[in-house]
Amino acid sequence: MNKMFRLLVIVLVVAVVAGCSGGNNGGNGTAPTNKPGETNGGTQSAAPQEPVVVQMASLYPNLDANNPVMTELSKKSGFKFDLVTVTGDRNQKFDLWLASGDYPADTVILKPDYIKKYSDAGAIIPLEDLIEEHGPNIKKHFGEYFDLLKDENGHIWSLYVSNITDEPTPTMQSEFAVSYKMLEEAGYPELKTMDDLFNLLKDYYEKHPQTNGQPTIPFSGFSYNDNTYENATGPIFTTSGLENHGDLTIDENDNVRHIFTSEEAKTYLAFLNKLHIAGMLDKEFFTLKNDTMTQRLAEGRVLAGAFPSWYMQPEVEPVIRAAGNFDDLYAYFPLVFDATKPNKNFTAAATRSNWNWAITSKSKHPEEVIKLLDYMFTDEAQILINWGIEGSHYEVVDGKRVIKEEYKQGVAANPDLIWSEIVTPFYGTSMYFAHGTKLADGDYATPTTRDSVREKYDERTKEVLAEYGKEVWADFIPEVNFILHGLGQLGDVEEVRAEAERLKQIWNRDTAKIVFSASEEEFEKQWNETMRALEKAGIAKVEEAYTKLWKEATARYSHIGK
Amino acid sequence: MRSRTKVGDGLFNVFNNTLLLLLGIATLYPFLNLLAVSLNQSLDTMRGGIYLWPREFTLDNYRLIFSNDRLFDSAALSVLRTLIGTGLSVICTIMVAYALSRREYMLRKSLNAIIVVSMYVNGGIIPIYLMIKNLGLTNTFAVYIIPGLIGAFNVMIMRSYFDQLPDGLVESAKLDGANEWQTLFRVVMPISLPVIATITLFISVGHWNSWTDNFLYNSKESLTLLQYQLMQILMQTTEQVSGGIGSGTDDAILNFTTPQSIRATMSMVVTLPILFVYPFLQKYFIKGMTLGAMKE
Repeated sequence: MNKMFRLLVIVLVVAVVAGCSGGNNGGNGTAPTNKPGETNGGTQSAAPQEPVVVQMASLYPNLDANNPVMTELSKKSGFKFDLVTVTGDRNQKFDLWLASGDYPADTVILKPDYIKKYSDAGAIIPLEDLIEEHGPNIKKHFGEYFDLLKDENGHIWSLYVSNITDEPTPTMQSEFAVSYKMLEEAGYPELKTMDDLFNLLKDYYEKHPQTNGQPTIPFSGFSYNDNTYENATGPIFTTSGLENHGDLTIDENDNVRHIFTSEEAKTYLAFLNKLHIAGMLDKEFFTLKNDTMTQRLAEGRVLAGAFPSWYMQPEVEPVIRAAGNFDDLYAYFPLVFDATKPNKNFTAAATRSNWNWAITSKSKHPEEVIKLLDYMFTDEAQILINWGIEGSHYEVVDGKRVIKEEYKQGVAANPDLIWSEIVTPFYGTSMYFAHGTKLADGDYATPTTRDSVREKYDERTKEVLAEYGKEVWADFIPEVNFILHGLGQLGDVEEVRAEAERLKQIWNRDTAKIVFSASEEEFEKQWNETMRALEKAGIAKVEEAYTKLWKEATARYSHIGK
Repeated sequence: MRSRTKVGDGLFNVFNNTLLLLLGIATLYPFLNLLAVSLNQSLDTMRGGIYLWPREFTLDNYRLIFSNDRLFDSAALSVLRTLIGTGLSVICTIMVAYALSRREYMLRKSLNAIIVVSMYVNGGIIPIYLMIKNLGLTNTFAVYIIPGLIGAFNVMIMRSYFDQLPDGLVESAKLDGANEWQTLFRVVMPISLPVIATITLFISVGHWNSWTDNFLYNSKESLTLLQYQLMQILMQTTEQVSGGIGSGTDDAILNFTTPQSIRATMSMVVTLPILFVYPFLQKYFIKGMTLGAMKE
């Protein structure tokens, strides 16, 4: 009797709970959408109609929504911004938004992989018709390259700017860093090939086995994510002048080759092995990460290495400059093995697709939103978001825009000033024209120019550059190889994903063994073993799949200007 | 004979003290290191070699954190949440644990089973999010308190403590004519102070440190907590340094601080309030342990 009673009570409780939840409609919980015309505070609109409120995702919590540039942008474009901030683990937030439908009503900013997820789920709308009707500036900006925005079904899912600049980006620099101290002692020689570097290192190392009381390290490297990319894989492309498409490269017949089994890879690893046999390779070459590498570089013991610019510029150079050890800085040369072959390594893709803008399916007024995005492609808007407001942030001197001294000093003293002065939700996303682009008035679109880059150099750097007759590190770069799109922009091929992963694993596991071989015979042996393992893991299949992808894309875009 | 004991004692003391001192240093060292890093200039920290003392003393890291205007508001909100959340949570946990510890309660076995299962099984982040949304708790202050009100683990700890209280206690209270409320609050609670203090500590530290519910459910600026605010500062700096979103436009604009320094400063800002409050709470722990023994 007691047991029955207990069971009955449980069943009743469960039934009540189930009954209550059945009535609740699971899908009615969308956040309230914007009410057009609702303004916060007084609006002074120069536009003839009442400003439309656009709810957009913003990636910056520190953004002061009422800063001068935002207010001006509001006035000029005739829109008011309602910002929904995303911080923390962005991908998790985006996944949550997608599952619950809680994304901002009008626009979202996503990377290409999430654009695909959202478009597959129907959360964002295709834009090509809207652009046809309301997007004249977008079409003008892209010109003949407009079709690059479309996917294989002719839909445009997200917006980003093109990368077609009049001048190459002045912040570009080559990968191989060579210490000033060493160059000075050798009398600033012209370094063109890897053999030049090897001889220079050998000479200097013999004379200076110690630096500041600690052993000198002639050649070093690190890997950011433990995937040997920065130290073993990336430099293969740069030293042989190949186009870098991830782990793949493309030859003259539009065939995709995997870099792991290439001759060029063997040449570079043989070079590292030569350094190792001569005792000139850092023992921790495969175990250093970026903060330990920074410490090592800041100590001034490393003479040379392959370091990407996105690492040296923000993480290493400021540390060395702040400590005042200007002699420990590095020069950047585009070194190759064979200086007679054309160097196609410095590629620039035609579009800049990174954090792209998309219009959500919840939007009640997509035509208005596309008009706003279209406005961002005008020169006026670009000056506003890149330079600021004339008189407050920049002034026109001799017909050219120059950042005002007071503003520059202000930012140097307090870097957070930019949030309350100039930053918009478009900052850092794919909506600002590339550095080096010139606007219709003949002046630059962004404040990052050769002069501004040169200003940031210290005296010693300028001295070294002058010895070579150059002004900025970008001057060393041979001509920029302009390509329509990178293989990476076309996405992954699902069918060969497992093989590609396995190839990476084998490579990461074996490169240390190959490079640290004690003799040339052992090097050959290890290399051949790895090649066999890679072939067994299906490298041919991966190459085939990506060749197919590449050829399809090339055919699709073949009508675009050559 | 006395001299032998003296030498033996002396040796033991020396050995013991040294060992304990070393242990103490080993425990304290990470904390002291963080303190040193937070007081050291950030670019200098990147050069390595900071152990116990800052090499280039600066208050810039703290200045950056405190210049955030929402910091004090969110700290106040954090304190409010900790107080309200802990108070409500402890009372509810006591009530549930007490009920589950009464042998005459008929749903006892089944509810115990359900609670244990709930510790291991949950729906995953998206169903939980949908549930919170459908309950109307997104963008409210209540979402910090209500979903986490009763923790299964805490209930089990408290219930086991109540289980091992002598039966005579409750029986004598009932004999004297107390109803369940009076039994719980006048008789059982006063002698359970150790476990209540422990649970209070767990829950309050949990509330103080939590930021994921803020991140997932609340996007209004006015509802941010201290931890989340600090996380935002950290994210911002990390993005700009590692070539994330902000770095493309203004090349190499490294702020005053690097992520490592910000993390260290954040740890200090968050831990120090608790460190200051703890000595005042300590006496309740000690008191609870010695109070109200019952003579069987």
